[in-house]
Amino acid sequence: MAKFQEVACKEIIKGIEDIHPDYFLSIPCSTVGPVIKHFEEHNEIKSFPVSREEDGVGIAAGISLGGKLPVMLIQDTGIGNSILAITTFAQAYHVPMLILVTRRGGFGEINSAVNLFSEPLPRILDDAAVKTFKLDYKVPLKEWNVAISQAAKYAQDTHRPIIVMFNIKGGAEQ
Amino acid sequence: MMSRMDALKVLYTYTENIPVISSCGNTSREWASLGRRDNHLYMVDTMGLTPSVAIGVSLAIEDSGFKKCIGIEGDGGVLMNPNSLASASYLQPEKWLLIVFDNGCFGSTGGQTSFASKIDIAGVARGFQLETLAVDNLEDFEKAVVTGLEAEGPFVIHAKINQENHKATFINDDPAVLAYKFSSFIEGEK
Ligand SMILES: Cc1ncc(C[n+]2csc(CCOP(=O)(O)OP(=O)(O)O)c2C)c(N)n1
Ligand SMILES: [Mg+2]
Repeated sequence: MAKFQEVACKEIIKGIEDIHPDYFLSIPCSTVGPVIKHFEEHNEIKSFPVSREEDGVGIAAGISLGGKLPVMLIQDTGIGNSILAITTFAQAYHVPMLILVTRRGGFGEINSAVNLFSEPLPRILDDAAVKTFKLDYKVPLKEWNVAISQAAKYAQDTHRPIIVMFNIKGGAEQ
Repeated sequence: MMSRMDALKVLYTYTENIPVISSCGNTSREWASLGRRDNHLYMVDTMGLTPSVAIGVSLAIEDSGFKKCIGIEGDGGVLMNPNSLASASYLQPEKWLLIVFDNGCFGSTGGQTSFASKIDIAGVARGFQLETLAVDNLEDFEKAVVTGLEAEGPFVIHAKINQENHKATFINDDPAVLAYKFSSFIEGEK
């Protein structure tokens, strides 16, 4: 049987393709390697890495203001690198964009520092009123692609950045 | 040495139909005081993000009739987000024109010493393999703007200015309205 992570990556790819974005921006997380590889080789969607997530939010916002559709995929730690841009630019200026975020910390995490940001992150985002949807073991994997494409539409319809966080490691909620 | 306001007045005459994004602080205020236009996007905060946003707009308008998208940033801002220079170098957005007004200080907050008092920003931009012109007077600035607007690829103008801040009205608009005007302008002209 395919591993949880493999299926999750396929679902994420499907979700992103259903959105038909013009641009795919990313900074890798090892858990979504196959997703990034897929879009690097994509014929229609232009894919590129960004130098830092804050820069990425700025570029994605510019793409959106210019009338094209961006999707950005980063680690949750990258929200720490970009929270000011998300709030005082994307949110304040009503710039729609979908930011896909892989979760770190929690069971299965071996890093001894990252939990200090990843664990409080949902509370930080709630306090900053950045709308976030969470995908984890509680949401059937086959629903993930639907959630991702609905989140992109929701960003457009509500004129703001929307974050979808997914826990690809499986396991209990953090 | 020219003031920021002198240089902005020159830029204003060349940019009637070009998207221009200006950084927070006195730069946006002085720029708006020359006359507001829908092709302007005034940043009210997010120091340093202007060059990044300009990269995104430049990519989005690649197939449009717009000549360029201009980002105006301060020396403090560009050294807060040099990542944008890395991205511009990597992505080569052909319509990206960055103008860095370098007064060697954090002018908008009272003239406190900034890194640019010791770091050559043109050298930094060239280090990122970006085509760059450095100017320190109005005549050369105008020539650089003309050159930059005609350049085929990403282009940086490093403009040395004095530390003058002109008194200009605060920009306190709803950012959603600022963005709406700007994106409607792009949509309408594309
Ligand atoms: C993250 C952040 N830190 C500090 C400030 C306060 N601030 C506003 S404008 C400014 C100075 C910007 O300096 P520079 O980019 O060189 O532009 P100048 O005002 O000199 O033209 C500072 C420090 C801010 N807005 N955001
Ligand atoms: Mg300065």
